[in-house]
Amino acid sequence: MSGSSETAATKTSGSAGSLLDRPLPSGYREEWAQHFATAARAADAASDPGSREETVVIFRIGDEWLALSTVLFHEIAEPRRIHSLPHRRDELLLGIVNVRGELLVCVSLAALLGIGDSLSSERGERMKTFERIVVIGKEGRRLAFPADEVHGIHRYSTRDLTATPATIGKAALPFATAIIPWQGHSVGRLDDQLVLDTLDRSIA
Amino acid sequence: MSEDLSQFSLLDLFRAELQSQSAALTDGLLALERDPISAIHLEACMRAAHSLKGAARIIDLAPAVRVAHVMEECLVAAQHGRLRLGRDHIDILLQGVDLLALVASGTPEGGDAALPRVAEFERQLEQAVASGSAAPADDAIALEPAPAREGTAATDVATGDATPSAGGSDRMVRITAEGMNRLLGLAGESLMEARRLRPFADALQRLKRHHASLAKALDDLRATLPPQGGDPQTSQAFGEARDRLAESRDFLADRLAELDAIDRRATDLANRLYAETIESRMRPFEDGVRHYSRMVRDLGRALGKTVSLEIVGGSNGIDRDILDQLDAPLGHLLRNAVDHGLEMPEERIAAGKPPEGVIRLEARHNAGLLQIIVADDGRGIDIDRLRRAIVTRNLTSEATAASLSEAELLAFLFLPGFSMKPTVTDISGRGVGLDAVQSMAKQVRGVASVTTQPGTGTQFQLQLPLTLSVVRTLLVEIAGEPYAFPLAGITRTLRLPRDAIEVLAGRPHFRFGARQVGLITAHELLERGEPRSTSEDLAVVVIGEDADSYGLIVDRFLGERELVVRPLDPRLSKVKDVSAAALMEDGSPVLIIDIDDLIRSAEKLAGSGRLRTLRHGLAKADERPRKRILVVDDSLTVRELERKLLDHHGYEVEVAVDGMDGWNAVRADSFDLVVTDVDMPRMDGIELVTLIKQDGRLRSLPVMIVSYKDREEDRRRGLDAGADYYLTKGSFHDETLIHAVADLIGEASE
Repeated sequence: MSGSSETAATKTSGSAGSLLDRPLPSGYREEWAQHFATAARAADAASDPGSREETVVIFRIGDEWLALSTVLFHEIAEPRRIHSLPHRRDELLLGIVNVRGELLVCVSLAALLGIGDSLSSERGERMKTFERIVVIGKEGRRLAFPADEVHGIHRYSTRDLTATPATIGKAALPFATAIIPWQGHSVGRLDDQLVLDTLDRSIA
Repeated sequence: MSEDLSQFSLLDLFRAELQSQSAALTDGLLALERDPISAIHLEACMRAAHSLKGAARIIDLAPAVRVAHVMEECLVAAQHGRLRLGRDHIDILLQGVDLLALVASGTPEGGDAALPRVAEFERQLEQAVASGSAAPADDAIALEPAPAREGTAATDVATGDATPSAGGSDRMVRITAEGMNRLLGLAGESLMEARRLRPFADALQRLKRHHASLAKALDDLRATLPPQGGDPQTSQAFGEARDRLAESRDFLADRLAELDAIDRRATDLANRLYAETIESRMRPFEDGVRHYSRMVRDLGRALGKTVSLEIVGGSNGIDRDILDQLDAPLGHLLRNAVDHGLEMPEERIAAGKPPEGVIRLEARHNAGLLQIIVADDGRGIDIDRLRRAIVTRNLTSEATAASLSEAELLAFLFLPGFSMKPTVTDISGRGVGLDAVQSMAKQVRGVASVTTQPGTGTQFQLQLPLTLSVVRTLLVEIAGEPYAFPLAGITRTLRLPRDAIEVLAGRPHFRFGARQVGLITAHELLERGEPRSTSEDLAVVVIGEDADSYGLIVDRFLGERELVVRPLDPRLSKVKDVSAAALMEDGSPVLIIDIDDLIRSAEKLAGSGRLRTLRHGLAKADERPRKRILVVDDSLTVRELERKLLDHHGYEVEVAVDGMDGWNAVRADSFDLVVTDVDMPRMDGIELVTLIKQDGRLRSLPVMIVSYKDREEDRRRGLDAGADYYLTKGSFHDETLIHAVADLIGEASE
């Protein structure tokens, strides 16, 4: 470091040379390429007013691919036992579930969005293997819901969004504000706040 | 004040020490006030003062050194018999404790800024010691008659504080409830994970057995070969195979032993972690209330009374949340007891009592409830004066007041703003205390009550639920899901042979002791599927008492479990028949039954449930749906009177027995009108109206209040909460009720 004495510096000059001449570590080039590409894309997005980068988590319920803001997500866990609540028959409130030692209210997004599970049940057992319990929420008010599959984080630019048609697939999606094109699917971008508020209200 | 940062952490250390030592000092000084020559207490106080002096010297806190020094001198003088401690000495010594806290406080008045006060303190104490050694203080003598009483009090205290001053007062840290819950959750999760090791190790035993059978197969193969000789190459290969096998068997055995040890350690650790986390929610009752001894004594002195506080059940563990919430209400009750409850010493002597008043503060666990008692041995509450005060304050008419029972009269004490004291003092009498106590109790769904004996004292009781801590429960399965009944709420569990069921008046019953007890399936009560039991015996849980007992049929018993109560998400509001949730050992959730709720649900189901379905059927046949009214009242008479009256006029009537029950009912079913009383247990009418009017879906539901209270402010309070109509109970003898109902929702069927 800067504190080393001159004699020490002369002694190590040979090894310093070999340090600089050593081959690049694997992935180094790619990492930097990625970095500049991202920066360029961000600059690109910035130059286009009204367009910005957003990240969402993409998941599937029934036959619908859906997305919510990444910041909403707290946990994605293996499916587990949900305990129903007495006297509550509504389809939306499934009960309570334990995720990482926390007892959370578990709701059905399928019921909220009016998505039937027709096709996926036809596809049978194979689909069950991707099932997850997803924990979302803001400011300590958390909720869990089962999803049939969770893809993961996806980054997109708002200018790639397309407007929602009146219906997507078979189900009407009142909570979707836009469509994100992703791997040949139309992903319904849900309104974060609207979904949380509606769920909050409907579990009371 | 020093700018050196390390100085701050030393001051923190000193403060922590001061906290525990001053608690010991205060306890000891209070005990010395009653028994000024007790060697144990003198020794304990002297030691505390001495340690504080030493500690203060180490951190160079000169003012604290001086304070502790003169205190120690005074105590040593008392120890050597050169001084007999009187009340004045104790007063000054207690001030010394406060002064030490001020010096160490780190505020602008602390540190060297406190030097003038320290000098004044030194002067006072030295003067008191000088005069005390010449002639013992007067009031120390005044205390001396009644040696018997003092003897017992002193021993009580001696046994009471020996433990806490030794190790009770740990330094407390504050942690949020949510943080605590998370910690508990994680500790539970790690316990679960640790428990998975055992089955995994057991599964590996199979591998061991496979090895054994492999060895046997090899031996069998060897047996088919000619003994001795044969192909040397083959036998060499055999030998090698057997060696390899033996090697891997040894290796596996070692690893298994290791795994066993790891499993034991991990489970043990996780168990301890879990137990410790649960334990840390509990504090000894004493920790939360010890500081009251000083408060009670100082108050007594200010009022010219001699008072001692007796803490009973101090080692009982109490949930820290409850302990925190108890602080303000207990302060109120104790202040009340000193000010209103206890007489002046002369009055006490005239009444043949010892001059020193005793206030007992007791905590005990009783039938699954936490009971807190604040009792004084004072004059008791003068019921006639109370009656007059109620009339003077225009709370009711003279005639009504005359007919009220003692318990009903005492209930007025809990009304907001009510006080019997003609003058307001700065200690109590502003009449703001007892209603605060009541509302705290109500907040945690407990009850506050008072009993009194003229001449011998008054006793306030707080019955608080323990729902914030750990409960022992019976786990049962209902419709494939686990539910937990708190053991405290269960009368009996039994296996009932099917042929023991009798049918009385169309409902199944069975003989339980000397009574017939109605049978209901838990599934019907909770609206969870159908019972599937096909076995000969039925699993039955008996809940409730006497005429209110019910036998609940469950699918099966899963055994007894200790559960850590976890609150349900507050957004769910009250889930009917459920009080809280918990996690089972395998991590799956379980719901804890609210027994009170369940008994009420059973009451209703048994009473009108069957009839309701029948009546629904009739209404359909009529093809003229009738308007539905929910009547909420805790008095059976009023409830039935209103029901008959409304039913007679063609309305369909459902009943609820209190506000909570009513709140459950309005959300579960649709009604055209709610008629509710105001004063009810668990949730009162005003709260019910408020909830209904705040609910988006129920806001438009008309609510009528029917109450005995006919003062203008009661009416205003009801209407302010959102009630559409306020009626006094006298009115349903005439047609007023029916007219009012018709005004609000029209005729029964249109």
